[in-house]
Amino acid sequence: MNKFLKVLSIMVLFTMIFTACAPKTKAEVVEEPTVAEEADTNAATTEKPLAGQEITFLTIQPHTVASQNLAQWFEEETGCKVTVDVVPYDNVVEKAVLDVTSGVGYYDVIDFWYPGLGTLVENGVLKNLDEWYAQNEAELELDDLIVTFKDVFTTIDGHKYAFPFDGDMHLLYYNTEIFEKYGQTFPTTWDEYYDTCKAITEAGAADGVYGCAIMGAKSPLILIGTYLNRLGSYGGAFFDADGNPTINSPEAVAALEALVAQAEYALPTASAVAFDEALGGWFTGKAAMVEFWTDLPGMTDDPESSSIVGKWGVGPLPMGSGEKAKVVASVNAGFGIGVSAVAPHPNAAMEFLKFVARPDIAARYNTVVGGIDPVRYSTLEDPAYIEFAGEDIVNAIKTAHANAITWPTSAKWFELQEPLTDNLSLALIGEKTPQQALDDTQATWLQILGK
Amino acid sequence: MKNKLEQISPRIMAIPAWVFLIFFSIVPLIYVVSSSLTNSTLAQPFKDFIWFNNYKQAILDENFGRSLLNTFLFAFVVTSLETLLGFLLAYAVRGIRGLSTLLRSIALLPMFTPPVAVSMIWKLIYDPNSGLMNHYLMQWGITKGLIAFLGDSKLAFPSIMFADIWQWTPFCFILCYAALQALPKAPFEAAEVDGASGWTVFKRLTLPLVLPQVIVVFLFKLLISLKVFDLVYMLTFGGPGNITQVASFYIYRVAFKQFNTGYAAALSFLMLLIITIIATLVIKGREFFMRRSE
Amino acid sequence: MASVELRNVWKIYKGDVEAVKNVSWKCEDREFFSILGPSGCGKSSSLRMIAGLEEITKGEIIFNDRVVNHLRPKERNVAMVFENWALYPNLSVYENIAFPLRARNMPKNIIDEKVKAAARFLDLEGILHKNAQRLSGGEMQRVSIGRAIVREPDVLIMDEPISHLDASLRARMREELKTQVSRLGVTTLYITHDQVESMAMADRIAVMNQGEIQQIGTPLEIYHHPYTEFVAGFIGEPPANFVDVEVFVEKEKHFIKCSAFSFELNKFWSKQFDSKRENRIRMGVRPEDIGISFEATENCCGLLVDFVEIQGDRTIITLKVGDQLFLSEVLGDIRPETGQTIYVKFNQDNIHFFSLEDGKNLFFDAEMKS
Repeated sequence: MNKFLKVLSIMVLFTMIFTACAPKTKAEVVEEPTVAEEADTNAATTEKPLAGQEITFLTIQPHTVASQNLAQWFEEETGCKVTVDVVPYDNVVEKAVLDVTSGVGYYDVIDFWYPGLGTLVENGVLKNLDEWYAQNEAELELDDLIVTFKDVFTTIDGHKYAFPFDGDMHLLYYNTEIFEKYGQTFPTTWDEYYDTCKAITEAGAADGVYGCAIMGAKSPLILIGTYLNRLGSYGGAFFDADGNPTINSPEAVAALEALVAQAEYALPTASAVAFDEALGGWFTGKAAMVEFWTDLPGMTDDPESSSIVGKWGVGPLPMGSGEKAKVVASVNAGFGIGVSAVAPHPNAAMEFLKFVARPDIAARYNTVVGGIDPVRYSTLEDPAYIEFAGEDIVNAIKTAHANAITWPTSAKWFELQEPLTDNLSLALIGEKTPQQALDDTQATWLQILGK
Repeated sequence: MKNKLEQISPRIMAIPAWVFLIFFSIVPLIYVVSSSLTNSTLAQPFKDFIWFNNYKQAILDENFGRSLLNTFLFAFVVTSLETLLGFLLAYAVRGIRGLSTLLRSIALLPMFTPPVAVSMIWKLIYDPNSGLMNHYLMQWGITKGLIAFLGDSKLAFPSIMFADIWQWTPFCFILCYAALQALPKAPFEAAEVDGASGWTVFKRLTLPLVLPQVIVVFLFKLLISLKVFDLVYMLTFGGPGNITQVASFYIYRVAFKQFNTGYAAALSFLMLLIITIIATLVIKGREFFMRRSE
Repeated sequence: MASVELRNVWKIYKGDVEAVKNVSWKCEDREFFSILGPSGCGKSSSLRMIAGLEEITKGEIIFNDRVVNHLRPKERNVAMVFENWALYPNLSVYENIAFPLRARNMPKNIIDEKVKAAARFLDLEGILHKNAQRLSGGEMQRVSIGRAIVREPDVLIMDEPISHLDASLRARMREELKTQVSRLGVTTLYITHDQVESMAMADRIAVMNQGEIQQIGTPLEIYHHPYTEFVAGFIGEPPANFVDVEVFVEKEKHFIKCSAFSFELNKFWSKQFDSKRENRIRMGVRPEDIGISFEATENCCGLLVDFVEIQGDRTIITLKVGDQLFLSEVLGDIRPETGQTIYVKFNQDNIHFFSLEDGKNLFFDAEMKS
């Protein structure tokens, strides 16, 4: 008995110590020389302003090439070395939060998935940029930022924490050769999409050709994105104007039912298809349609990765049915860029942020292969960009922005994503009916929000 | 007559071991238990002291219950199959002299491969379009169309189990082999002279003598399987739906996707208790068997 | 019941290790036949070949005029008592004894009968339920015998069954074993390295060394008329003494001479050396055949005492013979002093002469005749 009491008292003691201290350790900020006095340098020294300095840039795997380009250009201009750290897109918010809360504070600049903005801010990961925005307003040409992204990617509770970086949106692509072979035309509603898909699959499955590739893998970015393409177009939404969840509204259920029906004729099996599998099917001409981002044309016309060069077309996402139906373009994926609140090299980090945010740099990185989509109106008018991406795409993007819907960015959203992803997945494989799945989601959401 | 130094130097020698034990076992355990009694998130650990609320939530949590069932199902099925297969293989080769080191190394390769690499390999094998599995199944005429193993609600779990069996049967094999080699040779010669058939010898002699060790092998592997994570993370991410979501994976999601570390700590501690209970039961079972055969 | 015969049997292990070289002997039906020799002499290999646990490289093994080389152990109907007894550790005494019967699928009631009979015979009834691992050494030995005899084998083979019991237990076990086996009247092959055991228990002994048979005979034959120097030295305790000697003739008298002593041979030996010219030979004499006296007598040799070991009922005196030492055993309590010269006379009825080339007893036939 004695021993037991000893152990128990030690545990209680420790608990109290931990609770009392609850340290939020800040990583040591390394003082390094400020960049001042370089703007009007005399030509005497050709030394670069940030020579000898280093920063670390946390970015996602699909942005590897683009990030390396940026790193290279930044070093050329300022002499500051940028170490690029790449993680899967699913993990970047998690990684950033861990970095800060564990006290390590390794990263300076963070390329993050925008729905995680609220989470990042709540956990104190991102530095407040209000002042920076105010100071650099002119240079950054804030009015040039596409309105879809301008606030959503940057602002929480009226304060600025990031700058838009990659403006992803989904469009509907189709394989012109397959369409011709099976006598199909571009669908403008999800019902037509379903019919097209079904027709092609029934005729072509024996040859391994399917009407569409649907990305239904159990990851929020993938599965909720695919669902949102339908949800919005049926007139549904995650929340109403007052912030109450409406995930089991009749429109939401109809959208999920459509998705589940379509998945039956999609590239097998939708619930296991993510980026790579969808692209695999698309590039090899096995999938006639795919909802994908605006960088797809570049990759499709690259003979090294694709065997369907030039055999594609693009259009907006189909519309739902019902009285609330409308054309939408969901901002699926999409990334902002911010500076860590505990960045070890804050000054150099801020310079890098400004670098990436500059219109001239944006023009550069949008026009090389790297998968970064425009966040500025000027990019869409830039002849270089139009030539690079193709006129069709640029027009499609412009149209899309008129109908864009974005994901929530509140602090609770990351928690809400999980039950939604789970239930969508269960509905997709037939373990729950769409109504059931969304009712359950609604119930869980109310519980989470009610807390 | 030991002087002071001789008396205390053994204790000093033991200090590194103590340090290791404290830092890697005791402190984390205390931390987890403390954390589980509080409302903690990744950013703000030890926010408030909420006593046993996390545990109450855990008991009511359907997802957790489901994940535990998945874990038990997985663990018992794969462990049983691996122990059985490992034992049969060991029994089959027990008589071969000089089971060369090379052959043994090859047999053990799956165990030496890093778990993440194993998971990646199987992910590629199971790929519906370009994977080996579909390729050979169709080539040998066993199936007609492409099968998405990891996306199919009925095949996902068995697929993960199959990969685990591939990875860990060598472990059971090598341990059972050692156990069989350690059996005394003389009684078996006596049995030969006494005229017993192979089956009689196995049933009445080999099996009862080697069973205590085989149970230990079963227990070791069971403890390993109850903590399975890599395969699930890489192959299915708990999907489709929640079908392959095992307990450790669910805890990972709670901690790193929902950032609720206090709750995750409570779940972890509950898992610890459950695993301890299971292990104790197996050990008691073995003792019972050993006593009964005396 | 059966006789066991080995005819020109060889056992060669991998790597050309010749464990058994051209061995031939025959054990008659119901005989207690012992194979005796030091470690590595080939006795265990011979035994295992007889049981069927080892392949016979060359030669034949015959049970009752039937060649059994190709028969599996089960088919030979031999029962074996192993060194360390090899009981089935997880089974009870009852089950151990019953095992060979169960292996033959005998009906349960018959098994029960036979097991109980064997248990009665060996006084094991009280411990039938005990687990084999919890028995004492003596109990284990009896169970091992029980298991061997329960199926009424043709041949009972025992491989050093009591060699690792402690000395006092061993003596008692020797007695018990011999009694039980004689009562059974089964052909018994008994392997041991302990010559005391062989001498006490066997009807006939085959002495082996380095894979070869040295001599086969009754205990007394072997003791008094060793065929080789090895046999003479191996049998008997304390061991026999050996020394290289010369034979020379002087005035028609034959003398034995070595650096430490010389003496005249008697008529018998003179006659032998007449017919066989030998010069340098090896003489062997047992300790009890060395007569001791404190006074010089006719035809004796004076030797220095090196050490005296008092054993109460007899005394062992170590004598210096050139650079060698001789042991002599004398009844009674004689106390010579170290360094003292005493006078020694060898009992010529019991001395032997061996060839320096091959160790064979030069006059074996003559000894046997006389």
